[in-house]
Amino acid sequence: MRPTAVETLRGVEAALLEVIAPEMQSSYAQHTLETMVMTVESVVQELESSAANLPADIQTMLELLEQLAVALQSGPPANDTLAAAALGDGVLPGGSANEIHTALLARLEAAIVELEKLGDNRGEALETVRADIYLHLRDVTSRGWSFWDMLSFRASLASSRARVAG
Amino acid sequence: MTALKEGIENYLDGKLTPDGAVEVSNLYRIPGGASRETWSFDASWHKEGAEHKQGLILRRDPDASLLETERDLEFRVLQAARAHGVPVPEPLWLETDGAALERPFFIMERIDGCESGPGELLVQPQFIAVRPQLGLRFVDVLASIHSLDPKERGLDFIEQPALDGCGEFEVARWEKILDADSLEPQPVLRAGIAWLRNNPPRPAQRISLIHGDFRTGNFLYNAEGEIKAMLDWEMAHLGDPLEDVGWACMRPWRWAGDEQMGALMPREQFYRLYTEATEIEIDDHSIRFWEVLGNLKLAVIFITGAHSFIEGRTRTLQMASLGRNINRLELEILDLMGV
Repeated sequence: MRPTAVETLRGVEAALLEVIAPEMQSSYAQHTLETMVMTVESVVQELESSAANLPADIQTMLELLEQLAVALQSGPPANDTLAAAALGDGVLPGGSANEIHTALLARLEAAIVELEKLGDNRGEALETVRADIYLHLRDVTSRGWSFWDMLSFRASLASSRARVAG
Repeated sequence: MTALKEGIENYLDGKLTPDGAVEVSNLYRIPGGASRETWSFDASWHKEGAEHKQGLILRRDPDASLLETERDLEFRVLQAARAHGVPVPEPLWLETDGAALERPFFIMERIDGCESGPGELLVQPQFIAVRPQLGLRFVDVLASIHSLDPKERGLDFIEQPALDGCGEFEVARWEKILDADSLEPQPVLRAGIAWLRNNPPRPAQRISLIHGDFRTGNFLYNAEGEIKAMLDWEMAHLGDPLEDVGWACMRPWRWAGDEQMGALMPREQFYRLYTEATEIEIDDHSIRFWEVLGNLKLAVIFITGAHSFIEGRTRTLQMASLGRNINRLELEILDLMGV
């Protein structure tokens, strides 16, 4: 059995910190090495979850756009942009999983921007869709690892993850 | 690095006209400064029988940047701020083409014996002890910048928004950069822009010089509790002074992980001291607007750097690294929007 990508990158992190870092002389090189370690950690965290997140996110976005389509049928203010975002061109986007994800994300972007523009005129059904879209976006933005998680975002990240977990 | 050293020496020979030649030593690159390369060096020369030595800083355009900013604007703002009494390094020479050192640059004095990193401020006892004084000084410096008359100081060439148009002026500025540099859908940032337009700040009480990156981590301080220089003026512009107040309060700079403004003082104290110093009233709604705008602006800056990296215009790892940290700024935008 060979080491996985994540296990290998953990080895890279250890080598950088334990072997390379002590040899560094200039502050610029030390700073660059710190950036390398943080970047590797960020990649590791993504690798560990991206395989599961991609299909799950596609499914969630499809459900949110379907929820929007249903909400639009219940009689809130007419809005062509919202309808286009909800329905697309009537067919599911094709291509690779990444391409499908990007296409759905663009529709979700169009929908949430239009929902914001409606302000207080959204009505109850669209208000619910808006809240659900934001909960999904909160989930996405709370993932992974950032150098800020050790410092300024420590508490707010924990709070957000708890909120997403319900 | 040898070529850069020789380039600086040749350049300074022309500027300082020494007896003999200028010698550059201790040349090294300072970490950070993703919008400019920052180099420190010592220059020594003889002139009219006297020996001279000065520590200098070179700020040179990088191969690709987090942000495309005008170094001549930064240079002129530094001159104006210094003339007004704001603590800044003395700007010495500006070159807007790459004839001397391959890319545009300027040279300014180096201020020794100081720290700038927020880490030292948080953990080193000599700095922990003077954090309250640094907080007071932080407010003084900000008030001084905001009291500068742009016209009197020759900065009226900078585009000036209307008192009731400062918010939209900045939203449009950063939306335009997002349009140009984003390589994928950005639902949170786009929703944030819509929210900003639905929730404009109150009209500015005056139009001021805005530092644009006024925060803990961007000033030189010492163990006596003094701020010796405010750095990184590349995003300076004219606008609502509350923009700088909101930026200083943003979560990314709350390095201690608490709610204190820039790990320096409680937000309420900052507001009170600032209003006492400037007679500018602070309202929560406007600050919230400027904090959302600030987080959006930072995310767009990171996207610009990531774009350069993805397209191969730079191999600087920092551009990729920062580009992978946009999601926390989006999270903060969602929290500030209250959704």
